[in-house]
Amino acid sequence: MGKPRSQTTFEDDRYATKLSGGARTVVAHGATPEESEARATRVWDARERQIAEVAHEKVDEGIEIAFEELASSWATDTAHLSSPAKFLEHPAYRQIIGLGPRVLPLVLNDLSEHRRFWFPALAAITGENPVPEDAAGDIARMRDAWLAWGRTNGLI
Amino acid sequence: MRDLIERLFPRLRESRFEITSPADPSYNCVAWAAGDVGRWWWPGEAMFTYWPADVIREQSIASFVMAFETLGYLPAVSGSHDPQFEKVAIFASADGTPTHMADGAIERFGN
Repeated sequence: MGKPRSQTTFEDDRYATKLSGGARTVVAHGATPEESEARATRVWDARERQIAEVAHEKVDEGIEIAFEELASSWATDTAHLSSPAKFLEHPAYRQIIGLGPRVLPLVLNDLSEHRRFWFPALAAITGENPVPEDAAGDIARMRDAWLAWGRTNGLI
Repeated sequence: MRDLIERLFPRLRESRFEITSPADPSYNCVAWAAGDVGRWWWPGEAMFTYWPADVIREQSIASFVMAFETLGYLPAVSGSHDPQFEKVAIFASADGTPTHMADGAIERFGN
């Protein structure tokens, strides 16, 4: 007997913690809440392992070159924009996110040095949000929170 | 910096402009118009941006107007410069989505 193919919506604390710092809805097609929670746990455990593997390792030279070129392209094209959604739409920004945890040391160092708007990329790559809720939009506090997170995880 | 500005805004090549300060990524144009140079003001992406509490977070002119009403601004009857009022300008795309803000000296923007 198969499960009815239905859409189950529920609050998942793990996603809430990892993705938004607030309530977040997880939509699972044909899965029980327990099955979806187990899947989410496996996804984030894998991501945490990947981040741990990157820590304290020298960044691959090819990744470094790719990051520099992509970051430069993105920064040049979006220097006049205000909407973070527009940043995320830029192909170079999306490609940087696509590089995954290997690019984290470069992104964090760039955040420290050039203070560019890497917050959506960091959240997308790590699934973390170390920024206190009352600091959202406060660039200095957001930067400090992410750099502290990077130091804690051995990435910078 | 000048090359970048002229590339983004080609018509500036035909006019005179000067760079008065280096770029500062600590704030955006909306924050500058609001007089807040420590935060990134924008109604979307609440996780990364500041927007006044109790103002609807949507990318609409109405949301921007409400945000600036919290600072004491009221909709102006004209876009022209008036020395009796401190004005800010909301720029929007053809579909009404705000894209930019500027403060003060609106006459400089050709209104």
